[in-house]
Amino acid sequence: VEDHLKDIRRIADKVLFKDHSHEKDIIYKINQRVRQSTNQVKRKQHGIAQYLLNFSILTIIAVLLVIFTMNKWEFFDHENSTKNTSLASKISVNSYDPTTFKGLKYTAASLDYGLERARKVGITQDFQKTVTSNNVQFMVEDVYYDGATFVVAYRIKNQGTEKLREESFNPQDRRNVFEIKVNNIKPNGTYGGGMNTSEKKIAPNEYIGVFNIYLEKPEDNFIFNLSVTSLMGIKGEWNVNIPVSTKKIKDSIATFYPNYNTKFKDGEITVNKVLYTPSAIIFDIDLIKKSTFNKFMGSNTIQFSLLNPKPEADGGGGRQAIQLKDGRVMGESMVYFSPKDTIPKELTLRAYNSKDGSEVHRFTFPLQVWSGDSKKSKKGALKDNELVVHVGGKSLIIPAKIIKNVESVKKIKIPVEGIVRGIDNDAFLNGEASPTNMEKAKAFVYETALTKMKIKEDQMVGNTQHYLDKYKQKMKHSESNKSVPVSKVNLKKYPQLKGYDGMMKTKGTNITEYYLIKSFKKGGKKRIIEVKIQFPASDDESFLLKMISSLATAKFN
Amino acid sequence: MMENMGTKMALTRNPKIDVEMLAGLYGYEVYKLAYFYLKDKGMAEDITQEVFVTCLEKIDQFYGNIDQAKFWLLKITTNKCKDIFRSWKYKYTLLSDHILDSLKSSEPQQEANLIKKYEKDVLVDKILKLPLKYREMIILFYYQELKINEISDLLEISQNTVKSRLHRGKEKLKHSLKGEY
Repeated sequence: VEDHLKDIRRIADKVLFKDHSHEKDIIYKINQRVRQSTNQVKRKQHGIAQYLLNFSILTIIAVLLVIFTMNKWEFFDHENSTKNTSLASKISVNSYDPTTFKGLKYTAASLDYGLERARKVGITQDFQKTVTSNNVQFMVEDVYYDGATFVVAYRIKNQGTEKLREESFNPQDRRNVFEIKVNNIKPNGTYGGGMNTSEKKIAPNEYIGVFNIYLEKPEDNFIFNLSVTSLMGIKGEWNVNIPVSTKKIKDSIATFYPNYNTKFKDGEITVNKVLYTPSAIIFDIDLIKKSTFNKFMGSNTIQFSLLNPKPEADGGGGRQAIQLKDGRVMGESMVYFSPKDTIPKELTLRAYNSKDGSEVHRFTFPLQVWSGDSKKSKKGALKDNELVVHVGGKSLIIPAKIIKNVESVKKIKIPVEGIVRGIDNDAFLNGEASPTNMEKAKAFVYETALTKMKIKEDQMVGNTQHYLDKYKQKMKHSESNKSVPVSKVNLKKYPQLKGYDGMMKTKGTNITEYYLIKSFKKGGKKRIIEVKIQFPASDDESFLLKMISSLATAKFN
Repeated sequence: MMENMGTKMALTRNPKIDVEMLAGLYGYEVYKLAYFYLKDKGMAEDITQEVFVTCLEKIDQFYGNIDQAKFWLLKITTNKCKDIFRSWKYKYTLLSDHILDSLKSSEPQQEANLIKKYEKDVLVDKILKLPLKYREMIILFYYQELKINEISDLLEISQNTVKSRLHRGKEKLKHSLKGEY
């Protein structure tokens, strides 16, 4: 071994870096990037100079204005000189903000996970709590939730004699010792960072750590229950209930459903959802590709770079991967990029092989949900138990301001007219099942507006999507299997719609129909009213509101 | 040609020229070190570029010769790679790899058997599979041919720690290679 190690440079170069043209490629890319950075710095400097110039001009104007005003004031009130002093600034300076320094240690320890930015936009929660078990203190010091990611920054302090043991967690281990619930119910979602994270030592017997979870907004206000059973090798019981209010985040999160599908040589990519949150841009991407597992190099996963507004390598982010019958692998991924202040009209993604960086596919898709002017024409018809409201207009898609008032629940692939509940990772993560052993997954409930059926365990073969494909033929009201975002109307905004379920149908990037569904009893029998709003839609929110109001008061005879 | 200019050559103090020169000299070294840390060519490329952007930003604070510049670049690289390990993005990638790895049981083993035939490949494979703290010692000491005190300075740990990790790393490597040779 020693002999081989002494020769490792030659051996490793021969095995790993045998392609000499790659060296030139790497150097070329470095130089390109350096040039790009130099230009950026120049532009920035130019921008600053321009800004300073503008600022100077404005300052001079402002000073002249003040002098002029003061002189005028003196002119009119020269007899009472004491009044002149009232012109002095009454601004009380209170720039010191202790919260600015809170959590800096996490940033310094590279454990920030967006805390600093979350603090900047004011969505951190003021919550601190210490729980002690077996002489080990577990202190929650910083918490934030941005509508998609829940982050807890904590400190561990050992006051006992048993030593804390630095350890690395794999995702499963982390899940075993950090149990989370929302309102005492295990949520859908995937543990994000924190997996494999070792806590960072900051003093003898003292560590800091951060863990986060991808969590789609359950309610406006909820309790996040964190239950820890082991800390750095010491068993105990540390339970913390964190009350969370999402009031502040409402305006800081934007959701898009591009539903963009694109094909490449060995597979296809579908961008289902794009989430702009203060701490990240999150893509919900489905990827189907040929399995390319290589013993030596490991899995050749496909990763994504976001190319605009400036190129950025991603962090990948598998959520689940399933082997399809044709041998290909389907992965559902949450892909994270660093947050941006502006939302562009379109995004360009580059898919590349993680092992050699080679490009697999590059594609651009639109993000804007609003386009063009609209021509308003309205008509409605009540047919039997269905009120169909046609909203005319030239605009192709629903206006963003209306979308804003509709809360996303989740996007799932379902037969149209159906609503699926309970299909989530828990279906197999809680059982003994694994992505390759779906048979052991727990049963889930498939529910449409009209039917409810339980799918038995022994029927669970393949993945949930295949499963639905298999069963959709049998569903009474199924049409084709489409990717449909299921949404719920914000009932606080429109309380008159309580009791309705809502659903959107999409075609390509457009929302084509919006359903409101209400069930009621008539003559002892359950009836369902389905209100279908067809798009192209009006951009006139007041019209939609009016329509919704009339719907709420409508009598269904 | 750059290498023939010798190690005494001083930097020009023109940031762009200096960085491009350093990229020509050590760009691939930085990439290779990043690869040994990250085991991912795409990420290693990204980190390499990041290292030289940092280099561009901080080169006016650097005083030293070309050899010291190499050491400085390696230090930036190790720090950046460790930042990546700590970032949640990397952890998501790990999860992705972990899940896809779980599919390997269904893959044919022919390729694995082929690779086993090449013991040198196995050695590199085993080094890459060592835990990070041992892997970096083996790479810095044997591949980068740094001295114990240099590794100690680079990683900001004591020389004794370097020695013990290097020793344990070799032990682990020997243990994992049992039966392979």
